[in-house]
Amino acid sequence: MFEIETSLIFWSAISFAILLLLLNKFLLPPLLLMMEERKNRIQKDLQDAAQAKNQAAEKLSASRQKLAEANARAEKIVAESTTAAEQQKEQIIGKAESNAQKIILQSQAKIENDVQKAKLALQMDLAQLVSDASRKVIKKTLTDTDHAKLIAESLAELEHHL
Amino acid sequence: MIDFDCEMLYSLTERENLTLKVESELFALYNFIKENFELKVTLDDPKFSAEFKIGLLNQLLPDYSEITRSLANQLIESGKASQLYKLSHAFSLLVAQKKQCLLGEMVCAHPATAAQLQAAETILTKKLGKKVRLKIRLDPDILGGLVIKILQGNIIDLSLANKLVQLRDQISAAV
Repeated sequence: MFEIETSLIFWSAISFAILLLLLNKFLLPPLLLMMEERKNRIQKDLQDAAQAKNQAAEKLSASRQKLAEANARAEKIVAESTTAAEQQKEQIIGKAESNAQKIILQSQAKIENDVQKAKLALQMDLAQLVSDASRKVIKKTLTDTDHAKLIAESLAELEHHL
Repeated sequence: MIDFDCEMLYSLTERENLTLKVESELFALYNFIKENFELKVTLDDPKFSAEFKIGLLNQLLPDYSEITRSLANQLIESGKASQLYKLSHAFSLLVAQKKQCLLGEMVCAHPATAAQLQAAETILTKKLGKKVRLKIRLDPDILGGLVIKILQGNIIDLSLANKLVQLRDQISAAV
């Protein structure tokens, strides 16, 4: 029922060998070439990727450095601005204090001056009042004899005046 | 004009031997008008006639010499009553120059006697080395004592009013 046909096996082997020869002759070389090319392309892509990675890393590093520099510069600017603002603030406060002091001194001087003036005016008014009162009293009370005496005194004074 | 009038006036008064009297009268007249505001206004007012003004002035100057009256009348007639001070001053200067003396006034609050006037003239003549002739002028505002005013010269204020001013200044300074 089951019998082996040697001829068929033989011819099948021959056909398979021929097929292998044909494949080896015509199909394998381009396949190997294609695979080699693909391998090369993949290697190149890998190299490119590595290079790109390196470049990206460099760029990242540079960016980080620039960012750090920018931060440092910004901090410096902020610090300088703060210092300048502080100085300006101190200057403004100093000037304001100086002006306030000046105004206080001027006001004190003016008050003192006004007080002096008022005192002087009062003294002069008082003296004028005394003088006016004396004039009135003298005018009313001087007699002819007093006048004669005053003239005589004036003549005596005239002797020593010139 | 006034110089010319003064020279003429001086010649005339010298001839009559009335120079010092006229000089004193002019001075007194000027002061009289100055101290009487209504009289001054009346003499300066063109609404009043010259005759009226002359009549008024003659009534007020009964003892004045004829020369002074005539001079005052001329000034009024020519509408130059206000020139009286200039004339009086110029004439006083001329008299002082011609007589080689100093003229002045002794201002008193109360009439001084002739002896007091004489005493003042003697003292001043001795002190100033030149004959001094003074006229008396009354001014109650000086209160008492004397003020001597030498024409174009010193003013010596020995009045009670001046002493009061000095006292007032001392009080002002001391208080």
